[in-house]
Amino acid sequence: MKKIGKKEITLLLVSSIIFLGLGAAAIIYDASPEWVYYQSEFRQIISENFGSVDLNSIPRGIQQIWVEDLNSSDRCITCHQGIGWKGLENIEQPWKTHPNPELFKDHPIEKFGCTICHGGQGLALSEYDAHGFVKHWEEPLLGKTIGMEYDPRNPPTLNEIKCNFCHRYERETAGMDLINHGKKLLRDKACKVCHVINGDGGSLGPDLTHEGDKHAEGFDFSNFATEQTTILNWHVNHFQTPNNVVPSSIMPEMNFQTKDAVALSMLVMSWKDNSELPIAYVPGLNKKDIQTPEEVEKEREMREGDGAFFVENSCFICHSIKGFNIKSPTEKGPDLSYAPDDVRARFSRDLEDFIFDPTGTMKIIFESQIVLTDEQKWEAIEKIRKAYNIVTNKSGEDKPEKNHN
Amino acid sequence: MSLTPKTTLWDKLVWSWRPESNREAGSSIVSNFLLHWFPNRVTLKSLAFGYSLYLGTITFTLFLILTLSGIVLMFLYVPSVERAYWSIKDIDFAVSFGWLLRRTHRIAAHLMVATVFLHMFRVFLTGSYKKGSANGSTRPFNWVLGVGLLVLTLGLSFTGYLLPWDQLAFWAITVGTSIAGAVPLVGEQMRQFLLGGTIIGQNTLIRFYVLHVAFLPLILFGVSIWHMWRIRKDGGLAVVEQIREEAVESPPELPKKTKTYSILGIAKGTTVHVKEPSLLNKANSVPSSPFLTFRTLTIVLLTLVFTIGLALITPAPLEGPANPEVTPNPAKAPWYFLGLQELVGYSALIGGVIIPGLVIFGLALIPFLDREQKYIGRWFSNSSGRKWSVAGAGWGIVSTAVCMGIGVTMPVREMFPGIESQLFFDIVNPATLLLLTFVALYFLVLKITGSTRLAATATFSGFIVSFILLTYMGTALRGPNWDFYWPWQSWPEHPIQF
Amino acid sequence: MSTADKKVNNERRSFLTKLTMGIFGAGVASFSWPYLRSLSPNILYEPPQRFKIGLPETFSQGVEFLEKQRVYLFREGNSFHAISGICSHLGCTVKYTPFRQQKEMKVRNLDVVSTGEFHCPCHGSKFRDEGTNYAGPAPKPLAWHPLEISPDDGQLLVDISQKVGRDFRLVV
Repeated sequence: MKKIGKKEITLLLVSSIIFLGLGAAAIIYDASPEWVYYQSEFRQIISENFGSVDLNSIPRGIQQIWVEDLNSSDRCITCHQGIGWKGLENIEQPWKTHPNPELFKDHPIEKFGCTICHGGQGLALSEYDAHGFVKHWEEPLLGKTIGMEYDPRNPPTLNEIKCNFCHRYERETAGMDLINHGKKLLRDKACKVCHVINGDGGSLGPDLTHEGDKHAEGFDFSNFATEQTTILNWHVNHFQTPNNVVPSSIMPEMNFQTKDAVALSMLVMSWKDNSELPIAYVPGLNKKDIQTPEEVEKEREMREGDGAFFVENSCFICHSIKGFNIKSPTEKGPDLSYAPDDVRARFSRDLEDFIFDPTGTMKIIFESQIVLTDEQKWEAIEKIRKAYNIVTNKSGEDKPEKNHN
Repeated sequence: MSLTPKTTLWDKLVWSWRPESNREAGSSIVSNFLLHWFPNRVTLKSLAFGYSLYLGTITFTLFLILTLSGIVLMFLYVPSVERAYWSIKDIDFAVSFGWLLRRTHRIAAHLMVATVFLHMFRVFLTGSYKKGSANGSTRPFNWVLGVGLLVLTLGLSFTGYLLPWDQLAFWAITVGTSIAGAVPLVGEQMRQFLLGGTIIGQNTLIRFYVLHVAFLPLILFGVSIWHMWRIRKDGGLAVVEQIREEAVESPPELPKKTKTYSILGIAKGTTVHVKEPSLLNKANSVPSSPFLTFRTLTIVLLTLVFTIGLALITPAPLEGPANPEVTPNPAKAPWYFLGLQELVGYSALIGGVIIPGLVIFGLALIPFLDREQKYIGRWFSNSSGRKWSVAGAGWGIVSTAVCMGIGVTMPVREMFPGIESQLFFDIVNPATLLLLTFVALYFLVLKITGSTRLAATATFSGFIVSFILLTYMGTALRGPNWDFYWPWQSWPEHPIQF
Repeated sequence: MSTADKKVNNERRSFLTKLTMGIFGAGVASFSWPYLRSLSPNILYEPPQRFKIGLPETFSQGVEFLEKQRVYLFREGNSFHAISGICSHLGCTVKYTPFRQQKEMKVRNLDVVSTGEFHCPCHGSKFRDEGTNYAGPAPKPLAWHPLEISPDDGQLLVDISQKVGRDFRLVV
């Protein structure tokens, strides 16, 4: 019987070898991403700098901060493992401590992630993709690298644009110098005379409330002399010489310095629609029930006035204290201003005596719900007497007896 | 020549794949389920690389690659407008080997569209759609099944195009489905039925997803099995016709009297005499097992190596998330529709409905128009077929180049500013002109040669060239605002944020 | 060709075929691995196991259920502890059912005053208010999770990845 030709077997053998080679290549490629190197280096750095740390406590593998509220998952900490450590300030990136750890106090990392402030592609796991200087990723890492493109000697801190996504309604925000400068120019130059911003302004120019959302397709670069066709550059040029960029523009030339123009450009680019941002992320909002001034004053008096002691210790829930202008919402118990007379009339006892050794309901309350120290009990007695004096029209100077047995 | 007894389990499992005698080879075909769809013996002409180029096998292998990678991707992909794009990002970045799966799936899909076309070209150019003389052959019908498979493949690729839910997907499908809207009277209803709304949204995504992962693959699988079964029924590849022709010319051998039979003791005799001369002998054929199985394995493996090798070096692109508010410039349909998009640029009715309709309908009709039963299974029929094929291709190049030249340099609408009738522009435009040149080509060749086969060969060759040229033009020479750019001209840079 | 030559040739061919098939099999195996591996996720979209729940004084006395994390937080005066709301049988969420009146009972040989108990809706398991299983199919008590005060902002921190004994109390 005929056998299969050697040539044909060899062809199959060669292609099998290539096939196996491709499989091996794929497995090796997938098993050796950049972050594996960064993570092993980080362990090295930790063991060199802090000998005592248990290296097993440092997480391995892909790490991510998933912030459901912001719909973001940032995997930056897979490589930037040192941002939360103290003592790695002088180590090079990506292992360095975060340069402004005090920011984490108001912006806990598990609630904010990284890209909401820094930009970049948080989902990616290689430096090139993650820093986002790639096609079709609109927001790259807004750090020094990109700032140098605009002013090599004094690179603008472009990530303030990201800050102002949440902080846009604040007049001034600590640490956001350029945006603050832009906001000041906005007021000084009265931009709102011609432009609607945040719902009010004139109608001579376009509404700028959501200027930062405008896509590249919405800008006309045909009169642009430079090669750098970026939206930021368009704004900078347009602020400096509006007519050169849009010949039909009626916007006046304001003789802005480069710094002014950059600050204003950053400001308008930060104006994005933030209506889907959970309100917890928007600073400067009053998230409380609205009170009338009288109610506010009354509450302040209750909290800070002479009767504050009875408010703090919840006595006022059941007892009004007329002497201190405290009105109980329930009025279940008698007014404490009359307690000295009251106690004598009902129990034939002194006030001190009763408070240190109560009976009935007060016994239960003092034992379980409102547990007072002896000191506090003396304070209560003193305050009650004071209220008693006020309501019985005696002068407040009348000193209560203070017999410590 | 005897069946050696198989004792060990291993031998029992593998003997049919490596028969040691001709008798075992024959036996293996009938006893192994996986081999039963192969013929007992296969002709050397059918096995030759240069005849079929194994394009059907390659296409089906690609379909299997797509099925396997697709099943895994189904576990990883979320068909919702909120999650779809981000699940693709996760597949690219965070899933182990996700990048490989997605790249392989994408490359295999593009290759499959290409090989389906190439397979069709091969079948046409070898005249393999012709009935021939085998008993029960319905090759023309199998050609129609093949055209159906082409449409199904395009449908699968098109529905899969939307799933990444990026700008490319969203706008390619917007453009693609709007072509359906150009159909007179019912176009808009058809488009909205396809989309499940007036624009692409969650309804469209889930429709395309179900079509892509369940409905179309099942139909395609069924029809392709039918397609392959028909090849057996039609007497194998068309090239076998040549053997049959030769056998008819030589006097038939005396039929062998091999078996005696008896029916209930009433009738006795030898086998009925086989009237048809025996086609297959030891000189012109080999047992399917192991020759065809081995060859199939080689082709499958080469396809795998090529596809995966290409996937390893070709990243799968992903643009920004789908944004109905911003149309990227230029917005293009998938590459195999870019020829159409070029024609749609002149007239949606002609380019989007009449020409593709005529092409699909015309393709399906080919075996019924060309009924000459000659030169079956021969590339380009004969030397004059080769000549007319080259002539047709030349005609295709010239007419396509001229029509597109007219399209780029002389916009019809600007030449006749006084005319407002849309019908006028639907009739007078470069796309119509191109269509007419092909009609002219067909009748010209028919008149000169008097052969429908030659006329069809010339027209078909012209069609291939024109299809390639138009696709190239739509892909590479059309830039922002669908403006024409020479290959050496760079497109204006797209502005970015920073 | 002599018979011996043929035999050698056949053996060589057979070896070549076996080698080819072996390498081909290894290739198939090397590509099955990616398919399987890709189905084991590297990242999870799940709430963290260690989470802050708020300042201690904002919790009321008695029992409070943290729905999202399925944890029961107990406060007695200034003492806190956390019991998992996940039934130790098959993972349904147990429901805390307070008694009409406090009951004195013996649990784990200790005299305690109990204010309620946990009922599982799925198979009727019942647990004392300190987690001990006493009825139904539940094989073991409800888990206790450690509580701590977050050093940066003073909020209560629960770590449901850890377990502690039933005498754990955090006093603030």
